[in-house]
Amino acid sequence: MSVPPLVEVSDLVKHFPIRKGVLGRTQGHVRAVDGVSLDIRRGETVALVGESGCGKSTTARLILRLLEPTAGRVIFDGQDTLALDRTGLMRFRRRAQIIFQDPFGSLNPRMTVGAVLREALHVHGIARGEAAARCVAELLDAVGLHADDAGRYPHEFSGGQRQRVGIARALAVEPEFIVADEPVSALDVSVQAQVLNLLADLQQRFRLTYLFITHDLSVVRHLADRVAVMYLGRLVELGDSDSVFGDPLHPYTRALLSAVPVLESEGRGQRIVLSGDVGHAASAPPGCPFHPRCPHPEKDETCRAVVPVLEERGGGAQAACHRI
Amino acid sequence: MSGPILQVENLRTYFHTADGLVRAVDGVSFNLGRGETLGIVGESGCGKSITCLSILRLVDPPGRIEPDSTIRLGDRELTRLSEAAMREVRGNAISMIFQEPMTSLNPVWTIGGQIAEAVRLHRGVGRAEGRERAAEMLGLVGLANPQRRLDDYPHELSGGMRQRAMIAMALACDPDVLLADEPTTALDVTIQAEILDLLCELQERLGMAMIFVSHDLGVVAQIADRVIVMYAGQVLEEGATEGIFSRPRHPYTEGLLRSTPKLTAKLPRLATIAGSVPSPKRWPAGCRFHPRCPHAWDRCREDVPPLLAVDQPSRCWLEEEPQRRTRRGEAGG
Amino acid sequence: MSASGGNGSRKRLSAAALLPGLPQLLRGQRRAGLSLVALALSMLAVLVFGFDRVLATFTVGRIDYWVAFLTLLAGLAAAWWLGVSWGRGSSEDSAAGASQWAIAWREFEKNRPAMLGLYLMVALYLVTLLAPYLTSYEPSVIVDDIMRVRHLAPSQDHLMGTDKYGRDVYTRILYGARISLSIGFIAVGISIALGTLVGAVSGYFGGVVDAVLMRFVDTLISFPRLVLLITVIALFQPSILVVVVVLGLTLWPSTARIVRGEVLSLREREFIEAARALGLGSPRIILRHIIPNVLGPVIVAATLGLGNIILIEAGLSFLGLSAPPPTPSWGNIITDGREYLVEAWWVSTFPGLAIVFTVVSFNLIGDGLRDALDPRLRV
Repeated sequence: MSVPPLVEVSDLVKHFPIRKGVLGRTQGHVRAVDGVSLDIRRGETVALVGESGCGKSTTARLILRLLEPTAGRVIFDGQDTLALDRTGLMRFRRRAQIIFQDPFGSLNPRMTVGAVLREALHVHGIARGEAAARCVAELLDAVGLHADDAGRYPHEFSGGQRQRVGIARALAVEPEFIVADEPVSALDVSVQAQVLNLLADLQQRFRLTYLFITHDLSVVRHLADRVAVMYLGRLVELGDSDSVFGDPLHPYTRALLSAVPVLESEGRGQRIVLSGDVGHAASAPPGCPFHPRCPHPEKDETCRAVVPVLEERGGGAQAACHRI
Repeated sequence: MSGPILQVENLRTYFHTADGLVRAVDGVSFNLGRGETLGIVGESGCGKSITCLSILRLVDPPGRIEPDSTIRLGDRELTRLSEAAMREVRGNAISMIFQEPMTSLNPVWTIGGQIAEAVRLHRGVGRAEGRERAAEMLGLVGLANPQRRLDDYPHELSGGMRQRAMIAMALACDPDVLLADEPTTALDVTIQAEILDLLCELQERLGMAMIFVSHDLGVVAQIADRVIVMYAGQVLEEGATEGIFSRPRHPYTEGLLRSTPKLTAKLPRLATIAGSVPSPKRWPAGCRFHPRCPHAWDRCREDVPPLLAVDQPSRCWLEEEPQRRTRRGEAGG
Repeated sequence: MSASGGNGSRKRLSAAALLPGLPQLLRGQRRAGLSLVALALSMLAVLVFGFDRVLATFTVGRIDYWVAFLTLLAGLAAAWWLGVSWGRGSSEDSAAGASQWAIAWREFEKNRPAMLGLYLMVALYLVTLLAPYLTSYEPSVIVDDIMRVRHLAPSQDHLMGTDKYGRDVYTRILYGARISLSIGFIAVGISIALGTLVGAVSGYFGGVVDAVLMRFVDTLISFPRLVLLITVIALFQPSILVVVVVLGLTLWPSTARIVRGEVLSLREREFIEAARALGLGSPRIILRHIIPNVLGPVIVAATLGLGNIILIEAGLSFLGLSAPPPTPSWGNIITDGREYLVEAWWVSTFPGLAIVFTVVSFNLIGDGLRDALDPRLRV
């Protein structure tokens, strides 16, 4: 336990201004991410789960410094990523990569797959010429494509194959840490399983650390070591995969789990139906962000007024709720 | 009460494109009983959505419903109706809800106006009556304060509320058949659960029949009475939901079920189906699933299997030669 | 196997040496074959029928003669080289590794009007470059005995008649084409280069940069172009250079707007974010990832703009604001004939037709490109 985590996120905040009118005056803020703290240990897979608009993708981009946070810190392997200079940032980019959701939008349609991969190799001075060609072949092989595919364009591949190309691009710079932003959400079920298995294999082979972002809990059940559940910009529960799936603490996590459609009729508890819609981060309620939809029988004034903090609840699980 | 409300027989919808013939739906047959929910599952490009659009005859050129296809609604043959008569059917006897509620509602009209328009068109009622019906429907689908919601524009509603409004519009004329094409795919899980509950409840209350199209096996398992599994423009397996999900006969159904991640069991690896969905321009010869099938032998590459067996028909030669089932298939790749 | 292959290629070589396009025709590639045959035959015809004029290149030593000479050489070389190499790779394997440009070309090829426009345009530019070899008259030389050669009707000697100074109208149109077409090309070139750059920068960076650039663009667009042109040209001496520069500088804002719109939607695409995550710098992202993806609409706008510019230039010449006489341009040839429309209809009619054909062919190409590059048509 003395080994420091690879990524330490503390009190990360991102507010997007809402501008209105001709002059673009700021009319308020969307609190997309509102104080997220999270450690990711080397070699583990952390799943960041939540519904649309909860800020999970924004969190990922803040961690990779594709967006500048409003407040908070991200320490990557002992270094503050916000304090990095140009060369430091380039080195960081080589160590931390991202895989995207949309296999159609994530590849430049005018570049061959080979060119996409060579560019990644070239920018970081990893390989050129002959060596680059060999690297490209190895990468394609690693993600289950053929070396000849380097000459083909993205539109000639199926969705699953494109996703493999996106993975190869992320692997090209030999990263330690990969953010996978909904990597299988756009894929067919039968292909989804292939890509999930590939990600698991690559993790073993290259000793990767994953932050796996998804709205689909069943996808991360067998992949994640730990699960973080997000709601309206905040973490509401964080714990080992087994404890979150087996004994969820937060009412939201419970509702989320019960809402996942499952094949087996047995083994599912009573479904908790939430009333109302997922709130919007622009008008997050005071107090617990979940309180307007919370089905907990004992919710009270405290819930409506005081923001609960993420606290240790025993068994390695943390939850942000006044009523546990 | 007796006999199916909708009978589809040998439905073939082909797209005659410049690059060749695309056999998007290729000989699909099924019956839909009164008050029944039929689930159609399949992956992208399998023809499930085109099947729905074909029933409403909403397939645009170069797509065409080929001759000999029959779609019977009660005693009417839809493929032979005039366009005007077909307009009477759409939104009235059969209505449809789509995946993306934002794009299927007209953004420049109020919700109430759009529902009232459908009612006035098909029922020939006046403005006030149409409005009244619209408010009634919005209340029925569980929108709070329906009178006020009437004058809202689609962008003023959240995703879940928009899908409710879509459903209200589809049900406004008491359809006999509701076609739901991936109605919950664009929604969050918790919202999806609400909409599914709503659909179940409304169906029970209104007694309509429903075709529910989805790629998500879990959703279909939850809502359907009977399921057909489509692949490459054909029906591969058909049966009661319980049977399909607990005793799948076709290797494709089996593979789909096994590769679906589960909440309950933590597995080291997921089972997969090799390869990817074929392009509709070039369906494989013989059994269309054979390039991805772990059991395939010569016969599968050459002869097209019919839907075999009676209670849970499966389009697979294994029905005739079950001894050909290989271990590889059991292991799941 | 190898023997028969060698045999086949030798046969093809000899067929190609005889006449470029022949092997393509024999293989059934009609379009490629016919265009090669046409190219080779027309080049040979120029060489044979204008042989003394080709020779004159070495004695006259004027630059346009040298341009014509190089064009002729290049045309002949291209015909024979393409005759050997074109379509040697079989056309069947074209499905694999086809870039979006290749797909667009396949789409474009199917469009008959657009291909007609393309052929017309190629012919037009060849004629323009070869002008000195295609006529035995000089465009601007006035002979002493004007009255005898004035307003001659079209005949064997003067294909399109003569004007009020006895100059051959056909020759003047040939030379005038150079001005009309090159003005179009250069002005569009300037406007595309500037417009793409400004649009891409504005769209990619957004914020203040975008606001400032776009307000500037709005200001420029809101000026009535013709008034601006007339004012600027009135300030300087009317000359081709001024017209080109002014046209180029007034046309780029619309290109910039098109590009900015495209970039705004492109910037949200994940491959741009992936490029940033890989640590690529902004210049590289703009050049490698953004600009290639906005070229489609830009090319369409450019082709349609070419026709437009030719029309504007003709209008300016007609008003006497472009190339000063005696330099021929299509617009001022029409002006020359205006007063004599009844007695000598040919003076204004033929340059008018030239303008019509040119503009129509550019518009056909533009429409064809728009269809071919439209991503919605592709699945």
